Amino acid sequence: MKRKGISRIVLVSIIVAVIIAAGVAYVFVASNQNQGTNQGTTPTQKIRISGAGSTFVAYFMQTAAYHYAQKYPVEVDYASIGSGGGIKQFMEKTVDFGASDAPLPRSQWEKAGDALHIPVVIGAVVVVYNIPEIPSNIRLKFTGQIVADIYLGKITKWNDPALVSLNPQLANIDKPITVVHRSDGSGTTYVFTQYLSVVSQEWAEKVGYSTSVNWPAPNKIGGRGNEGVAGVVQKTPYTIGYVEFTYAVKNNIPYGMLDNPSTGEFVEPTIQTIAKTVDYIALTLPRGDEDWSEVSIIVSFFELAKTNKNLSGAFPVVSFVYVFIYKELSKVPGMTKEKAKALVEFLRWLVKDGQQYAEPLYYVPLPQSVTNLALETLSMAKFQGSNL
Amino acid sequence: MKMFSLKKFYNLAFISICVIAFILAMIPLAWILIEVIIRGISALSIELLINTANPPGIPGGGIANYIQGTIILVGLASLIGFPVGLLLGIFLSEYKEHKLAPYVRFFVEVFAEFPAIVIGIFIYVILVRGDIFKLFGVEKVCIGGFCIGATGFAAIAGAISLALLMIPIVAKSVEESLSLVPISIKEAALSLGMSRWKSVFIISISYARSGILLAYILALSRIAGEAAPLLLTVLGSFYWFTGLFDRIGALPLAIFTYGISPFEDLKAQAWAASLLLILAILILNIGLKIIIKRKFAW
Amino acid sequence: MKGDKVFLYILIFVSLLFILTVFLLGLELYRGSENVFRIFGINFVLTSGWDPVKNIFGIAPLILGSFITCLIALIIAVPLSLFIAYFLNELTPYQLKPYFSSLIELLAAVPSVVYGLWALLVLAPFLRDNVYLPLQRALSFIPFFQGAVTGYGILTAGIVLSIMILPTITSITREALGLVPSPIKEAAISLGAMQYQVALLLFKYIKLAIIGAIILGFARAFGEAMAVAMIIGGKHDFPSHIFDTGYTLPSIIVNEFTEAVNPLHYDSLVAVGFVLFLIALANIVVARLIIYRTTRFMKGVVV
Repeated sequence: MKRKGISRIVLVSIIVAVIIAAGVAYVFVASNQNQGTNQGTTPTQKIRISGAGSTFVAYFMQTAAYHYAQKYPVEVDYASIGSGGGIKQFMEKTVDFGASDAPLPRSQWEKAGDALHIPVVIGAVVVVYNIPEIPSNIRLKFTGQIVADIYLGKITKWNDPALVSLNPQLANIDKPITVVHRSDGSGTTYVFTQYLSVVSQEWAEKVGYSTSVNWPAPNKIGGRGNEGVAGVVQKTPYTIGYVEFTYAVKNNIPYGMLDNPSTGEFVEPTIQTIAKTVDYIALTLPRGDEDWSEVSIIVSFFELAKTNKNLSGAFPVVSFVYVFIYKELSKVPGMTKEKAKALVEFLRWLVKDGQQYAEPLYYVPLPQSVTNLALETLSMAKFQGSNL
Repeated sequence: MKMFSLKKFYNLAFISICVIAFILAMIPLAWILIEVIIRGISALSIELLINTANPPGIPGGGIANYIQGTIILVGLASLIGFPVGLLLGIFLSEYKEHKLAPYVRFFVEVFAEFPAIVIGIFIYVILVRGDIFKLFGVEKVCIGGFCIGATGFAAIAGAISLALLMIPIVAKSVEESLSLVPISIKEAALSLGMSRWKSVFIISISYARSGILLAYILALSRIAGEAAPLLLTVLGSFYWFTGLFDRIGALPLAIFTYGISPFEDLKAQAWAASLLLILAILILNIGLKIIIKRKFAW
Repeated sequence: MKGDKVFLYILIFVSLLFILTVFLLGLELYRGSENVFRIFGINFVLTSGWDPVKNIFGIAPLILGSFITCLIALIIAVPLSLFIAYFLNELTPYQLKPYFSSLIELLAAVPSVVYGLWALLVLAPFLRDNVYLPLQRALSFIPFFQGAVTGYGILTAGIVLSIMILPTITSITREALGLVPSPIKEAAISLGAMQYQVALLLFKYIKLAIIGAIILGFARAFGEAMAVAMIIGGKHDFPSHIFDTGYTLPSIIVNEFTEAVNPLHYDSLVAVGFVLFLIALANIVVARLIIYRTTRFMKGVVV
C-alpha cells in the first residue's frame, strides 16, 4: 500500500512539473515573439512609464505609445480611465503622468505646486445617436440649444418639433430619447458641458460644467469612458450621447452636425473643420508652468464669434488634450533619473514626430506654435534639480 | 389506489417543479458557456495567445501579457495568502479554546463574503497612495538598500489585495478539513509523545491534505477571476511583466476593459479571454478533484 | 514542549496581524469618510443627490438600488435553490449525483466579469427586445411599466445576481438537508409520506439554515461589483420605473473611484466603502445568530 501512495505523489509532482515547465516555455517563447528591434533587450532593460487619464485621447496615446515602443525600449502604459482619473492620480502621484481634456482646476493647480501643462493633441466632441430608422449616411442637424434642452430633459422625444424642424425625417419617430452620459470623471464631459453652458444660459445656471455633473434628464444611462458611452449608444436604440470624434468614426456610430455660432451654418465635424476652429482663434496660451484653468478653445471661439461673423467651416466643440507632469519629477514615488529622462523624451517625441499618428485616427495635430510651447515647457522639467 | 388522489397530484407537481427548477438553472449556464465558447473560439488564434496587447485597430494584438499577468498575480497572491490562510485555519481548528479564536473566526467570516471592491479601496489607500507610510510618518521604509514607499499602481499592490481576498477562503476550508480529522488519530499521535505542533503538521495536515489542496485550488480559482480590486490597484498594462512595482495586466481586467469598449476587435478578444479564464478554472477544479479522488481511494 | 510554544506564538502572531489588518481597513475607511459624515451627517444615507459641481452627495438611491437588486435576486434564486437542493439531495439517482452537483457548482465557477460581459453583450439586448419591450407593451397602462427601456438597469442586474447567488444558496441548503438526522426522514417515509411531504418536513426542520443561506446569498449579491457595474446604467437617482437604470453601492465605486477629483466626491466614495463594510459586518452577525443556532440544535439531537 505504501508503494501506491508514493506513486500517486510522484504522479502529481510530475504533472505539476510539466505544467510549470509548459508555463515557463510559453512565456519564454511568447516574449521573444515581441516587437521587432526589442528582441535583443532583456525585459529588465526596458523602462516602463505609467500614465493614465483621458479616454478622449486614449486611442491616440495608446497608438503612439505602441509605435514608440517599437523604436525605443520604453513602454508607455496608458490607462484610459477618464480625465478625472488623469487629474486625480496625477495629484496623488500614483502615476508618472496624467492626461486630461480639462486643464487642472485652479485649486488643484495651486495644490500641486509645480504642475506643467503640455498640450499634446487636439480633438473634438461630437454628438452621436442611435436611431435605427435613419440611414447611417444621413447626418442629423442639431443646434447647441437643442442639445442642451435634450440633456436638460426639456426635449424628451425624437419627434419633438424643435428636432423635426431641422430634421424632417424624425417626424415619425415617436420614441423617448435616452441620454447617455459619462459615469466617470471625464474631460469629455468637461468640454461638452462647457459647450452646453456657453450655448444655454439655463444649463449654465442649473448644471454648470465640470468633469462630473448632476445630469438632469430623466432617461439616462451612464457609460464608463468614451469607450463606454460609444458602446452604449451603439447597442441601444434611440439614445443620444457625446464622444470624442475618433470613437464615433472608428466605430461607425452616426454623429450629427452642430451649428456654427459665427455663421449659423451647420458644420460637420471633420479634421479640417476642427482644425479651422483652432486656426481662427488667436491662441494666447499661458506658459507651461502657469495656471491653465481658464484656457478653453470653445470659450475663445464663442467670444470671437460674437463679433466676427465670417468664421465659416469651423466646428464649435473643440478641445486640447493636456498631459500633466511635475516640474520636479523626483516628487513621484518610484521615479528614477532614467525614467524621468525617458518620460520627457517620450513627450518630446509625442508633440513632434508623434503627431503623425493624429490625423489617421481623426485627431487634429498641434499647430506649430503650440508644439513649440510644449517643447519649451518640457525643457523646464527637472530631476532633483538637474535638467533632463 | 387507482383513484385520482390529490396527494399524488401534489407529489407529481412537486417533483416536476424540482426538475424544472434544475433545468431552469441549467439554461443560463448553458447559454453563457455556449456564448463564451462560440465567440471565444472564433476569436482564438495562435497570435492571440502569443502576442501582447495592441491598441484597437492595430491587428495582431493578443492577450498573452494578460495571461502572464494573471499567472503572476495569482501566484504571488497565493504565496502570501495560502500560508497565512493555512495558519489561520490551523489556529481556528486546533486551538479553538484560545481566547483569540472567536475573534479570528468572526473576522474570517466577515471577510469571506466581503465586497472585493472595498479591499481595492483599502489597498489603494494604504499602498498605492502610500497612506500606511504616512500613518507612521515616513515617506518610505528602507531595509538595507531596498526601499519601499507608496507603490503607485503596481503588481505588488494587486497581489496583496488578491491575497487578502484569498486568506479567509483558505482559512475557512482548512478549518473545515482539519475538523474532519478523527480525534482518535490526533490523540494517538499525542499519546505517543509527539509534540502538539508536530501532531498538527505531520498528522492532521497530511490526513486532511486533499481537503487543504482543494481549498487552495478553490481560492485560486476565485481570485483568478477577480477584477474589482485590480481595477483600483493595478490599472492594467499592455506589456510583459517588468517588475513588481510596475503596472501589470490581468485577464479579468482585460475582459472588463475590452468588454465595455465599442471596438469589435477588442470585444472579440474579451470573449477569448473569458474562454481561457473559464477553461483554466475548470481544468484546475476538475483536474485536481480527479487526482484527489484517486488519492483518497487508498 | 518548546516547539509547541513557538508554534502557538506564530499562530497568535499571524492571527493578530490578521485582526489588525481588518481594523486598519475599518479605520482607513472611517478616516477617509469622516469628512463626509461631518458635513452631511445621517443625511448622507437618507437623501439623494450626486452633484460634484455643487458638492451635494446622498446615497439613499444607491442603498435602495442595492436592496432592490438583491431582493429581485433573492426572489428568483431562493425558491429555485430550495427545489434544486432537494432535487440534488433526494431525487437524483446516486450515480448521477456528482455530475448534477458539479453542473450547479459550475455556475459558481464563472468569474463575475464573465457574467458581466455576457449580461452586457448578450442578455441585456435579448431581454430588452424579447422580454421588456413586449412586457411594456402588454402592461403599458400601469405607470410603473412606462419609461425608456434600454435593457440595462435594476431588473437585469437583479436577474444576473440571481444566477450568481443560486449556487451559494443551493450548497448551503444541501448541507443543511444532509445534516438532518436520518431517523426523521425514515420515520416519515415509514408512515407513508410522499416526496413532497418529506420535503415539507425537512425544510421545516432546517428553516433556520435556509434563513442563514438567504442572508449569505444576500451578502454575496450585495457586494457584487463588476457584473453589476457593467449593466446597471449608472443613474444616481431613485429608479422611476421597473425598467429604469440605477446604481448600487459597489458598482458606483467601480465606475467613479479612480477619477473622483473633487475631494468631497472622493470622500463620498470612500464613505460608500465604509457603509459596505458595516453592512458586511451586520450580515455576518445576523447570519451567525441564525446558522449557529441551527447547527447546534441539530448536533444536539443524537442519532
